[in-house]
Amino acid sequence: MFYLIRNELIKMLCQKKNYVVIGGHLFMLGLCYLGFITSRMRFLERGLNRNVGIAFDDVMSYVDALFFARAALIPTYFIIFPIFICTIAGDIVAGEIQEGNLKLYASRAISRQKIILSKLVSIFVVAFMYSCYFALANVVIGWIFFGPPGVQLIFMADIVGLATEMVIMPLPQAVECYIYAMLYFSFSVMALGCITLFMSTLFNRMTTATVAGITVYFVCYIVSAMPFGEEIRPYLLSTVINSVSIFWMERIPMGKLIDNISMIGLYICVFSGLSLASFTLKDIR
Amino acid sequence: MILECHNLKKIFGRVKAAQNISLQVERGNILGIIGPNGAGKSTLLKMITGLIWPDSGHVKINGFDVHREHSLAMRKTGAIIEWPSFYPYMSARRNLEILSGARLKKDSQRFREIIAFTGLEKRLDDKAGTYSTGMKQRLGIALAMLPDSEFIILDEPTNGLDPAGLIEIREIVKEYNSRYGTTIIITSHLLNEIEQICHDIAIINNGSIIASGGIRELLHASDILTVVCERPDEACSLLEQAAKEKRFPICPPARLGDELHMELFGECAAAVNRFLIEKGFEVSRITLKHKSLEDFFMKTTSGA
Repeated sequence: MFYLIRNELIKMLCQKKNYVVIGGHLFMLGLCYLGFITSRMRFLERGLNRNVGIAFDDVMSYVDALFFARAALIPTYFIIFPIFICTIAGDIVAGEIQEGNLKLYASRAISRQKIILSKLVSIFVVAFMYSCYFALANVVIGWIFFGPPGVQLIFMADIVGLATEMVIMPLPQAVECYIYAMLYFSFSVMALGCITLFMSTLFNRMTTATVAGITVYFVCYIVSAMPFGEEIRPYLLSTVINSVSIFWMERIPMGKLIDNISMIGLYICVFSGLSLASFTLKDIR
Repeated sequence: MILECHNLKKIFGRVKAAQNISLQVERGNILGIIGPNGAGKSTLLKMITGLIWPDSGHVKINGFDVHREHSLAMRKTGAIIEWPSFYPYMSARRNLEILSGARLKKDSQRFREIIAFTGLEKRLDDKAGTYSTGMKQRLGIALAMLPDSEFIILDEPTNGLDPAGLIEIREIVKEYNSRYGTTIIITSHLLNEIEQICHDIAIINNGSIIASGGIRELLHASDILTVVCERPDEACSLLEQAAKEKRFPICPPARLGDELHMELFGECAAAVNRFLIEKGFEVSRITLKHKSLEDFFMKTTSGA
């Protein structure tokens, strides 16, 4: 089994799409830097003034490597990373059926269950690896642009459903929270990977499976923003992912954290099970 | 028996891809499966290799059910179904490693033998995307042989090959069978190749097997005897009478100019010749033509 997982990882990591996503991420970081220096974070000053009633003379003095990295987390983990994972998961079954590779592989002495489980585990491994990479790259680029990290000013006035109180956090605690946020993101993206993997076992074309996964992701966001989504909002994947903001509170609400992790776990279990069943019974034509 | 298929049935929507197909393959034989396009050859092979679930019936390889005990059934089996698709961005060696699904001992005697056998030694570390059609087919055959296959399934391995490539593949298949006693199933549209390679054949049309058996027995079952003799009209009537009386296993002859053509269902060419001479006919020419696989195929599929 370990050998099969290794092979899946080799297949995934040898592909050119990895360079594309890394290049895209660096491009995004460049744009973020431009945004920071042109806006001088005045929108943050206004937000703090309006919501918290505190007037900051120069918010830019709080902008450092970790501040930049935290800000860059939003486009990275909410846009680039989910799309990338959907592409990976969409390709891993449907793409191989489309190319004809899976016929060669599935006719060998390996059970369907082992094949799909190895693909599932490799998606988790890649999700974790890229999560670590994005988190580290954000900090490194931030360090180059804005210097080493210090005390952190944490505030978010409802961006993509994320909102935090204003907190001044010492550096060690902020680094800890950053790492927890990175781990939480990687775990929540694994859930999206499982959903897309299930789509990949249903469809025979990579594009269809990828688009289906991305659609599920964005539709959850849209529905959770609608007034009629009130009752189902706590169970939607987008709400669970957005709950990463709890790591930036002074005291992390453990009850809510456990609820969210359980919900992600449920998504993973349900869609892994569905993928296993669907792939086992699938005709590979 | 290495392979046993019992009453395989598969319907895709309104298309009956397989209708009660039963097939057995003896260990060490080369079976050719032939049929027109859309006959169900690839569907049959996909059911045999576990890629498709049959609606009914079962497939056993070495006594193990292919769908319920897949890893045990396919343990010593290799298959290339339709076009062998490799990962173009990886080397041939890496492709073999990954797609064989087994932990390959790259320096093993067997691995080196198979690579030498298929003529891939010099380009094993090149990317599979740079390979020509012929090389990809050879790489596919190498994959089917790994790690230690005693049963190989090749779906149209000669597709897209030039004449030199055809001969190469034919020789590889025959040599591998004779050297290692490997059982091979091969499908092809090139009937001449099938005739040269295979011990047994099965003809599929519209999802059913319409003829199967040893290739020699099937083809020699209806040889064509051509006789040129004096007084062909009289000779023709005489032979017609003899056919009615079942004196010889022949069909009533057809006359084409001076030639009398008749289908034989047994070895009786010498007896027919002796009969005509005893009746006073001077036979100037007698030829026996074995039916080619092409003749047999056209007759069988058009009849079906």
